Amino acid sequence: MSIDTTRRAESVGEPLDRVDGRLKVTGAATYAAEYPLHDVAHAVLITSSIAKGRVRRIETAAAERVPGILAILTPQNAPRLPGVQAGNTGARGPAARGAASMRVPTILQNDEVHYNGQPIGLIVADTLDHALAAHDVIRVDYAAEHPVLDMDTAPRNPPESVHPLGGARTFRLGDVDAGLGAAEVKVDHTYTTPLENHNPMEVHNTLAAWEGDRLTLYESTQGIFSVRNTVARQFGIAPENVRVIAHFTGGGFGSKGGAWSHETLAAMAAKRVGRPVKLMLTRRQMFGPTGGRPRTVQHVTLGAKRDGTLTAIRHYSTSNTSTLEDWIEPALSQTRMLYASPNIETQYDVVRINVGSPTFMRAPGESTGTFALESAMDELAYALGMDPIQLRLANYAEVDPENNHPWSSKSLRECYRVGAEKFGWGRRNMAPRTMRDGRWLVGYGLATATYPARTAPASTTARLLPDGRAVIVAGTQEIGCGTYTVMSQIAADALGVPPDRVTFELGETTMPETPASTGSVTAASTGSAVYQAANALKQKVVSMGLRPGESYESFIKRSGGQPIEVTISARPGPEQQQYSMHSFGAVFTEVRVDPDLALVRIPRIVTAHAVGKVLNLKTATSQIQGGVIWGIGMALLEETQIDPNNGRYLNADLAEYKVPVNADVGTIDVHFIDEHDPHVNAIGVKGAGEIGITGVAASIANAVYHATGKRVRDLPIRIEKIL
Amino acid sequence: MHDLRTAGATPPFPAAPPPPTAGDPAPDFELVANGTATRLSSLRGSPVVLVLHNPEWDPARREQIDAFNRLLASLPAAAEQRLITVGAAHPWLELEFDTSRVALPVIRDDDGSIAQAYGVHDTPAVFVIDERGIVRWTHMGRTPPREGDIIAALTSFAARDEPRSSSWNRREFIATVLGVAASLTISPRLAVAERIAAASTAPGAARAVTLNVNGRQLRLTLEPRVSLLDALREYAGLTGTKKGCDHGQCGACTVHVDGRRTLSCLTFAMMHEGQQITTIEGLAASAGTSGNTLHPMQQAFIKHDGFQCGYCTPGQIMSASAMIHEPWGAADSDVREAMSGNICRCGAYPGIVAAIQEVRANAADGEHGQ
Amino acid sequence: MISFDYVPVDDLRAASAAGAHAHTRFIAGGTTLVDLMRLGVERPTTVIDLNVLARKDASLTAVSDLPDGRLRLGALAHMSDVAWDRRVRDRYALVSEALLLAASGQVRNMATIGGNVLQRTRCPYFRDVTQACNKRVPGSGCGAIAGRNREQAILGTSEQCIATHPSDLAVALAALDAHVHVRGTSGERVIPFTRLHVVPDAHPDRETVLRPGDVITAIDLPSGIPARSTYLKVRDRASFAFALASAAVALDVSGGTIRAARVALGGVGTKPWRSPEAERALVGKAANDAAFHAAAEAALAEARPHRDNAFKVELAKRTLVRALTEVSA
Repeated sequence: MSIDTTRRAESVGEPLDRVDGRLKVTGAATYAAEYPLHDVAHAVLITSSIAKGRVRRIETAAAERVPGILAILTPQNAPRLPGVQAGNTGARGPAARGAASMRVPTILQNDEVHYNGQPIGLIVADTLDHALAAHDVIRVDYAAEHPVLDMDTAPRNPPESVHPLGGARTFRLGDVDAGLGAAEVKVDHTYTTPLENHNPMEVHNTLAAWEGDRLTLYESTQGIFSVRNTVARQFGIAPENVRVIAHFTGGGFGSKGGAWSHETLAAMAAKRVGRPVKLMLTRRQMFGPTGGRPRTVQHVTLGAKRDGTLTAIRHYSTSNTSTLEDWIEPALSQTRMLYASPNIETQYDVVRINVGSPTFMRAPGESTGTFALESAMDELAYALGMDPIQLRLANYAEVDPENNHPWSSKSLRECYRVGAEKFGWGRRNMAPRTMRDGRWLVGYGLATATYPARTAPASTTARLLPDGRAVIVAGTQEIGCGTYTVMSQIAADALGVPPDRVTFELGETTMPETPASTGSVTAASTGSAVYQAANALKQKVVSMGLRPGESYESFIKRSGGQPIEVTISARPGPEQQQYSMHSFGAVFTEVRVDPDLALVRIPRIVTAHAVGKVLNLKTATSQIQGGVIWGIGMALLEETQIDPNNGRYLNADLAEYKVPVNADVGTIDVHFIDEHDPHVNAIGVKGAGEIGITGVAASIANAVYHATGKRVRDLPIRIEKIL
Repeated sequence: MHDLRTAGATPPFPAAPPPPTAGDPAPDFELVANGTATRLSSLRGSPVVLVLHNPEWDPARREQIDAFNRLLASLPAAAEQRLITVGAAHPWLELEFDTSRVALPVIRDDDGSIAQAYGVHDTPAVFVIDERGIVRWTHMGRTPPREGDIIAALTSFAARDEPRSSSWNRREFIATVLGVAASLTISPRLAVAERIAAASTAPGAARAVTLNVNGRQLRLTLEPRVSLLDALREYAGLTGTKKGCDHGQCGACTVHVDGRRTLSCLTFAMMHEGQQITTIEGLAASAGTSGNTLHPMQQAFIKHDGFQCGYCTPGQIMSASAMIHEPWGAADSDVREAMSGNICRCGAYPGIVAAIQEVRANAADGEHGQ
Repeated sequence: MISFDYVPVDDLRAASAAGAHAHTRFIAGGTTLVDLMRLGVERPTTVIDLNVLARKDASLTAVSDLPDGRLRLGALAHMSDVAWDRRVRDRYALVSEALLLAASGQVRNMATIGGNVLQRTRCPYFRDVTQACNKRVPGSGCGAIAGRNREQAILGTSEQCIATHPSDLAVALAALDAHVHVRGTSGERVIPFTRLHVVPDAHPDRETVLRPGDVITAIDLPSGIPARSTYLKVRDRASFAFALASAAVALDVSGGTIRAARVALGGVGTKPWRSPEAERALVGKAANDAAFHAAAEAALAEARPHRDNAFKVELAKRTLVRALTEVSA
């Protein structure tokens, strides 16, 4: 099923201004903690200052003397949640999975401390300043134990399980040892990526209000339903009794995909004090309690014939997790599908250390995995003396090597061609340190981008109002991707009306259920549901007697004046099992490196991506640019540092955890390949939220090598690594 | 904080009268503010807009917010308009007025006597009452009041060429509406604040602080440790200014203080009495635009997609709209450097630079043309 | 944040008297103090606001020419106003550049000259009250020496403290031999800028020679500074980051020979690091690469790196060589 190509789409694809733009530029867009509830109390989180051990006692007497203090929750006095089994902390395996059981200490259900900065209490007061004043005089008595902090010396284990995103722990195709034996050229290196934190601009925050046994959470989230389900399970109440509201979310990038601890703690506190409770984490409290990207140590071995044909690919990845749960950075997915080689082997291991639990972070797996794989491919190109694009084309996968499925669509050749042409790749002299601009060394680098195109079940209600306007309702999220805008466009085209005749509503669990805005699924999944709902609505009106050429308004007027509504549930079709579905792209980077001071500047990046249908050229371009800027941060700047002795997050702020600022970014020239995918979903959309970061770090590292002759295999590429 | 209460008759009431319609005298009722009773009739001489909403009012419900937004946006020179709201559920309420957001006094109608007197049941209702206490326009029901109607109602009696009101011009009218609402907003808080200030000698005690925000005098009761950012967000209900790091490292909290871009998180509110503070809610008005017109920087950000999630956006725009008056060079690289104190994690920097450059180019053209 | 009394003052003498009390801090721009109070690092019970004073006494915020050719910067002048001042840009390029390379546009609009030179280290162990820090809590130890120390100092360190002084402006002022005017409880005095800050030694909690109640009222930039000067800053980000290494230099070159030289380093010292060793290596020499490298070697001869910051030795040398090359070009 696809968009009716006999009718020229009028809105989809156009660079429509964001329909929520006015709200955002006037400060009128309302984010979680900003809802003006009556009688709101303010909460402040207490976090641990040791990395491992137990909370013996939290001394609250001085804090309780601060005026306006309403409650102080500790592991000792916090209510025991019916849905949480306190005994199975740290238990592993499928039975123990899920936030409700795995992060028990962070919701005060026991006294264990698993990392430095873990939530161990909550102060509630009439004003924020009173809560902060009380926090200032809290003293905690710990039974401290020696933490495990060094990933390189801690035991390496097979993971209990690998998240479905990552595939099986071990994947073997053919015989890699034999393939390496047959290779004429080999590269064999270890690549590392550091701990990182998402740092969305809006801190995680919750406004929790009870009405009897019904809970409302105004929440900064990418997944209203996942938060609802977790919190409901913990409190032992029906999901219908938890209403989660998120009309705008100030960025998430994976860190707001589900519930952490602050939602539950705010709800607990609201129940205790009988008032709505607002809890905004501090920036520091987003290091640990709300996840991050784990460190990865990736060992890549490539074998090739002289003509560049890959005889073997071996890619092992070890990532750290917390001692609360096994979460594996799925860094090997792309290695199983990107290049045609008869022999491929991938395997995950995990190291459990005393840090906060890692989680999904923009392109989890593909961002870190492509850094290793695409750096290794560049090394192989140099070992072969072959142009990096030619090497990739020599191993172009015409079907998915992992399962032999045909691609639903693949335009990677076009991406290389268009990207190279727009970038001027032909001007590149392959030898390192041969291109200069004055004092600056110039380097050109390339890497491949890829990310799976996933579609999940989603539901939508479409309603025609008596004035002929349409209201489309789906319980999805606006996290910056342009959901309000593109959904309005999809529905407008399906209904055959201009987008300003459509209002799209989202962000409440009372609305039809859709997936969390993670994994680049929203445009594909909710977009398909919106498309089908709008189509169904149109068909319903036609079946009710809409005359050709007649306006909806006129029809409703003459047929009773009542709104007309349909609700549909869209499910991915059988094509999901028949085809491999992925977006692809090519990232071309020019770097300038000061040969003395080791300054790396990136004046321009050119990308060419094939992501199926582009719903809105303006917002899709922004998505890719944003992903590329994340890649710049990953390549050059970002690293979460912990103290080697006590596990404290050292750079837990936006001054020392360096994300790119405006001056770090040059021009980012984004191109989309016109790609028609008849299989991926009803609207031919593959998603653009995450592919933008993939390949970027490798592209930059490859360009730095080209500029300097120095191969940096350990991110970020800091001054000291190329000085 | 909850100072306005009605002292109505005790239930049960007789059968409800029908709601007043245009031309009817507005039913009078009593407001009690810290023991001082005021009657609606005492506000005569100024037009009053009275909004009743039912206890189910929920600001998260889009249709209700939309209704109020449209109503508020439809008022002439909306940034200067204030409403008196009456409701049972919330003693004060923060609402958006076009681009600004204000805290409104909510007169609690616990026993339902005001709603009863106005014949309102279960639906939001709006009454525009003229300076003589006559209802000029009403709206009831869940759907939004029609744009333009309320403007017409307000301006019709404001512009009437009658001896009694011939002196009203539009500007005075607006100022008077503001004055009435402001007196309701401020007086009770002032009284409380002064009492606290007088009674307390404890270190760091809260006291009354007057901040000039977006051209309005805001009287707030604040402890010295309250940052300007928290004063705006948590005390004045102006949540357009964002808290991204609370340490001056991200720029999301940028406001203008006496025209200069300033981080509201790194300064105490008390330090800014007597200065002109402009927030994103007041930016358009500060540039002399009126009605629903955006500041050119706001328009340019929309056009060039200079944002995604929108959370850093107010700070970016406040920073940009001040930066263009600083002596930077003309190049993109100058803009990038000048704007590097505003982090955008979504990575909208290319659009931000394009937006600023367009505004600068247009401003330069405008100067040359004059 | 703990509760405190807020005391605006409009009289310098009163400010000084009030400021002499324990647990009292002055506030001007607030960009350091509010930050550190929110972290619990600074815990004053009285905060004295100097801004009322600044509005009353224009000399405190002015940039003014002195009859003998010096330029006086009012201590309560904002960084941005000084940075953009035409006289500063023309005659003291290194000061203007140091200011414009520091912080962000918003911070520069708030922070004052006097506050800037008194800003506290960015050491993460100092800024986190759960960590050991001899500067914050004397005798509690130094988390940085045993921990992560990439950003820490390599010059002027001690067994107790390796925290880097963060100010860019202060490096330029150290190079210039600026003078600091101080109003204290016992009257006014003038302190050579290079003597304002002290190295940590055994007392890292003591950072300057200022006494309780002292208010910096002005900083004088001397006349007769070599016309060619610059401030070069190397940092991880292209903007809005503290220096990993920086160099403030001024050279007077005539006939190819260096007649006078001023050199100070930032990002590497526990205080703004004036380098008379480098200056001695330059004066009288031909202005060429060899002399610049010799100066860099001299400037860093006493460097004592730790586990993660050995690169700073080389980076600081190269930064200094580049700055010298640029001003002599």
